[in-house]
Amino acid sequence: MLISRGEKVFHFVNAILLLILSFSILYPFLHILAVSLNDGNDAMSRGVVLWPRKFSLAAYELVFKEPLLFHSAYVSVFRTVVGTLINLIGTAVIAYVLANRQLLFRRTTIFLFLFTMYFNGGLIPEFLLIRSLGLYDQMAVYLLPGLVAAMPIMIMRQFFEDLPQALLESARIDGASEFRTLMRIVIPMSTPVMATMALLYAVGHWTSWYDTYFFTRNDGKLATLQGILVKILMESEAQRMASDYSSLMESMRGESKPTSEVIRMATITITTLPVLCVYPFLQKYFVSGMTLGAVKE
Amino acid sequence: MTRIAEFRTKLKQQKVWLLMLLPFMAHLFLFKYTPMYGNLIAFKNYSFKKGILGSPWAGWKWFEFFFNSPDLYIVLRNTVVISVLALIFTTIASIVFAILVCELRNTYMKKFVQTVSYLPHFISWVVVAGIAFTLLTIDGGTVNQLLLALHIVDKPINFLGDTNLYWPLITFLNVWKNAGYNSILYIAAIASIDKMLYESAIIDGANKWKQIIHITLPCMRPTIVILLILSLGYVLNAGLDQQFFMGNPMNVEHSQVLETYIVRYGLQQLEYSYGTAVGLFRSLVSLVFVIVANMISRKMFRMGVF
Repeated sequence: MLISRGEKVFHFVNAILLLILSFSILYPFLHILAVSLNDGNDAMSRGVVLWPRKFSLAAYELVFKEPLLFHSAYVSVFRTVVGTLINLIGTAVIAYVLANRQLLFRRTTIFLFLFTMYFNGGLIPEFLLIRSLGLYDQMAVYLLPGLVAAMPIMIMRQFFEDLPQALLESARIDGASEFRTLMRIVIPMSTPVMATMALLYAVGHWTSWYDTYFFTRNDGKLATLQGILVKILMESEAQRMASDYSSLMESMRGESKPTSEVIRMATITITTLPVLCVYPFLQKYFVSGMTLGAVKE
Repeated sequence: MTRIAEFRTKLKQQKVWLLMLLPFMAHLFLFKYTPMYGNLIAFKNYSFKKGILGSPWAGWKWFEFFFNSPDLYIVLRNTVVISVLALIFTTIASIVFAILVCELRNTYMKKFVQTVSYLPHFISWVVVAGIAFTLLTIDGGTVNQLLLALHIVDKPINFLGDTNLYWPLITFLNVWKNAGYNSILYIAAIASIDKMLYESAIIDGANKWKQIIHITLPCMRPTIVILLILSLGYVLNAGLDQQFFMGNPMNVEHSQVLETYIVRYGLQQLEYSYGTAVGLFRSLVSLVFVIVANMISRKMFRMGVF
């Protein structure tokens, strides 16, 4: 096929344009990384663009030694892993039951779930409920209220409905209990949708700051990485960490101490890195997930 | 069989299913529907000690207060403006990006550009704010340094503090964060266009630009319009996240939206009833918008979210 010169120019310019765009999306992260690896005092005078001017791992040392950061990383990981697992099981059970077209009250139940996507109690009633249930500042507040979400339920239900009914029928005839059918047959056949929903829930847990900020005291016990980040950004938490560390490391003269700026950057880096490393490999899941659940006819 | 007998048999057959569902229904009622009932305090003078039932009635007092408040106009204006700006520009950016990406011929580059474009979607607004603070700060932030070095300005721009720059700033951040991820749908739409259309257009002498205008865009039109209409339903949801972190006392005139207003007065200043009233107002109007948007979408395209 003959390509005109104009078209060749277009393709060339297009490619350059998109590459520049990609770089400008990546750049902020590179910058953050560079500053986090920079010497504290040097970073205060700003101007670090792409590479650390004066390399120093001090900020990361602090991260590992500062109990608040270390503990919050643990809380984040814990809630993401355990939370996602609970979410998946709950969602699968509900979706499995709702996928049966003969189910009594099926349409009402589906409506009850769907309705929550468009109307909810609002922050204050939710806050008051959490308080009165005694969930405030408990680990359960991360795991229980958000047990399942309406959209993943619907997506999974749609998927389960499309599974060959004959398979399930024969399992039941052979005497398999509902749980067995679910665990042994349905779930293994649904790995794409399970993976997609797992990703959805996991990212939700990892990036969640709302419940940490409003439903916990956001301090040592239950702060997540995101919660700490909020503190660092909105309050002078980073300052506090820097001076605590300085007094702790008083004995290490000559060693340059991390300042609030690099601590901030280091915290952002460790919060973002896991997600950055994971999401490219799960592309096909969220791409298909998006087209699956978006619009129905 | 009679209706009741039929019902009874079904109940017996589906016992296990219904039992499996039961705990989750309980959960649903407790955590999703009880707060809806809790909205009752919007009509009361809620006091924590007296509880929901014990607190005295206040009628429409809080709603009147809100509608007569001097903040009303600003808060509503900001909410709608920020949402609409974000919607318009993200849609345009997504479409342009989708078209350009589909024109890439090198598969590796295509994959690379797409993967990078999804990146901002997966980070939280806390992180975005942190990045924005570092890059845009008036003393030595990279962006200002670049602008100064290129002599585009002769003194640094106060992105974070200048209230008049807030809307452009937050729109930019919204586009940066969401355009890539949203383009997935548009790329799928483009991929489903019949290639024959392009071939016959080329035979008829159409150049790349004409192809895009006369084939690509018209074929995407249903997708674009549906997404636009449905998104309009969420216009009052100008995210708490963004405004909460990017807003500050200096730009509050342009950054205060319904949700931050609720957090500030309802929660932080402990005016529970008032905050609930405003929240209820927002939720109800939002619901109406979504329903209307959906009805329009169904009428025009027989497609909707529900």
